[in-house]
Amino acid sequence: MPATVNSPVRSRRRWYQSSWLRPFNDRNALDELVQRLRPQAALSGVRARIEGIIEETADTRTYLLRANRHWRGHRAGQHVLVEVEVAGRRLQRCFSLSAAPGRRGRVQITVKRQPGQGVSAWMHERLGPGDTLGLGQALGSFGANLPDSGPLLLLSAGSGITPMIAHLQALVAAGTARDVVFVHSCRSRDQLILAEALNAAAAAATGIRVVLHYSAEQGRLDAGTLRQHVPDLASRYTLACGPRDFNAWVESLYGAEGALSRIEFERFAVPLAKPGAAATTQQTVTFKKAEHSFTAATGQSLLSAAEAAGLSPRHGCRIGICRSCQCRKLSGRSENLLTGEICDEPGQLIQLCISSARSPLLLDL
Amino acid sequence: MNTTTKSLTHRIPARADLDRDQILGLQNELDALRREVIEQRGAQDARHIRLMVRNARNAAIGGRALLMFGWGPFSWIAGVMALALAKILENMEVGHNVMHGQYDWMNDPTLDSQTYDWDIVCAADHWRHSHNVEHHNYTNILGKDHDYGYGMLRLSEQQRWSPGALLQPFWYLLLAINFQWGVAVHDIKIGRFVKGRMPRAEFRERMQPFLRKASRQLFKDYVLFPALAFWQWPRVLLGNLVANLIRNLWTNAIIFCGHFTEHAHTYSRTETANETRGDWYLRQIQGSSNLEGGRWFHLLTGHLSHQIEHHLFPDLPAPRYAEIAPRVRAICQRYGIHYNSGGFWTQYIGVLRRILVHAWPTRPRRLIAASETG
Repeated sequence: MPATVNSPVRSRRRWYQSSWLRPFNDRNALDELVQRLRPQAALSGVRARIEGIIEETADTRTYLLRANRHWRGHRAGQHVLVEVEVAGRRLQRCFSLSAAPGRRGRVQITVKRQPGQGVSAWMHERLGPGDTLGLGQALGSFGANLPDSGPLLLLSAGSGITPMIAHLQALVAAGTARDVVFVHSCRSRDQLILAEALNAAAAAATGIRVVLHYSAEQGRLDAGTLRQHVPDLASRYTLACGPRDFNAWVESLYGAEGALSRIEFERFAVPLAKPGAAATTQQTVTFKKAEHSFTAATGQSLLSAAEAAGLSPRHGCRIGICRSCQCRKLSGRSENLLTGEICDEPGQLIQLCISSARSPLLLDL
Repeated sequence: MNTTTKSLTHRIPARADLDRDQILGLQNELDALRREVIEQRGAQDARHIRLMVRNARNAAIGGRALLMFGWGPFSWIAGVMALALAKILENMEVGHNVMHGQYDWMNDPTLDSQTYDWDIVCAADHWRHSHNVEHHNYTNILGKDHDYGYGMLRLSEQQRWSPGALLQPFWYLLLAINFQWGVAVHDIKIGRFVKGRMPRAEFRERMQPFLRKASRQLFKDYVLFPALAFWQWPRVLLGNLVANLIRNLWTNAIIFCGHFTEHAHTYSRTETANETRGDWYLRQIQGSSNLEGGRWFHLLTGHLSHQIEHHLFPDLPAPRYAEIAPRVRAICQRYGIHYNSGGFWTQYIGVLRRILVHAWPTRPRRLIAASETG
């Protein structure tokens, strides 16, 4: 029963939300009641019902969603935080919205199943039409600075195609006859996701040229091949999205061309330390609200590192019992020093006194 | 009553005498048990706490509705029982356990230990400090655990006696009836202010959360709900008062059975100065006592009937305590640690006896005996 996505930054409660007025103001109770009739209804917060599922490839699915009235709409290229409850635990993942804004409340996300038993695996196994999901509001500004005229290049690899389809659809909807080249690289034809939407977009506007590169047959996409398809790439305003290596490659290519001012990237992965990283490394820990960063050694408690840096976060017992020092980790990999448990999940609560940084951390403090 | 101080101290099973290796072994076994439960934690625990939240809420709605709209004594009694049940479930199984962080792993903002607030006059932040920070850390260390006797009761021969203690059976009765108020003012540390050890400004600051919370609770139970019932207001007001009283007596009895039973040990500051995690575990076991009963009994105590397991692992979902209790008991047996467990009446009568006995100037017999033989 995933409920609405909570904003990572906790908002102050107003007096009428105060718990002493329960059950009158018990939103959960009212939501539960309403959701018996309409599963995606909620007093606040976005929930979406799954209207349909499209099998894109063997491991990728598109979920057609219908969000409730709290959804404030989106622009092409944006992503959304999706919340699901896996084994009693609420987990959040970002997915690009894989379609341009359409009818009110209609959104879609395309999810590739990752190895292991994570969120994507859970979604593939458990979610069917009629189920509901918690959503955040649309986030991100990928392509927000797209100029109104001039030639464009959309460059993607793998699941990086998802925001590109939204952009293509938006261009088609705007009715422009712009010169747009879309270059996409994936392993093979049967790994191509959102093919139908791509074909429809390409057919709808004369100015759109689609180049598909299958690396299993044609080898990895390199600069020569790319220039062959798009000789004037540096003069085109470019949107790029793909795996980390792909983005790095494109960045170096545009850097060499001196065209970095005409390219925007969408990056998915947060760089993490390798699991077997050396025992004592220094990691940067950032307190978001305090706007303060300090370094902490792996294996050192975040509380002592923060205090060594002159900060004084709220704390109590210092041995992991009372949770006075508990805070939300927005991103990064932390280690529980008592149990040795490693946590990569964003948006989870950690205790400063028994947690240590295994990668750069962003904390909601 | 045929009890004398002599027979009382004699019947207490001695503290376990473990060497460093055994302490470390105990620590490792308990750590492993904790890890095991954390790995199993999942949908079942989430379902449990949500069911309890729903039960408490529905009982509150039902009880308040019966008080407001019902007529005749039977609906009044049913309303009072339902509201008392709601308050007990919400305070014990939901509030206390959620504020320990037992369900923080669920990442559900309504079950967040640091923001949850409960249906009792005690401000949640005060509780989080006096209970989670002080009591669970310094359990039964005289002078450090302010929950030991709540600064007004003498429960051990090692606490200093004064003639005022003679009245403590009476004070205890007052505390039991007004238990939520006792809990509410506990973290303000009024005694320190009275003795002139706390500046007035600090005192005022510490009073503030209490006054805010208490006025809201009073307004809710004795103004708002009675007013909503129009001419039925007397039965609502009286019903709320009795429901609060039932909750007070029940929680008081359960909580006193947690650490003040006859076989629960106390500790001094010096002997706990250099504790390891294993020592800490051992103190938690020897300072706590369990109550035996069925599933609903455990639910109504918020699983504080498994006080030993709760003190070992305060942040594991409470129903898991019942699951691991036989294994904790087996571990204790292997290390020769007394596992203090008994029925509610056995344990509670033990508590009452302790209150009566230590009202008199009991001597620290065990210490004298130890120094004589040493």
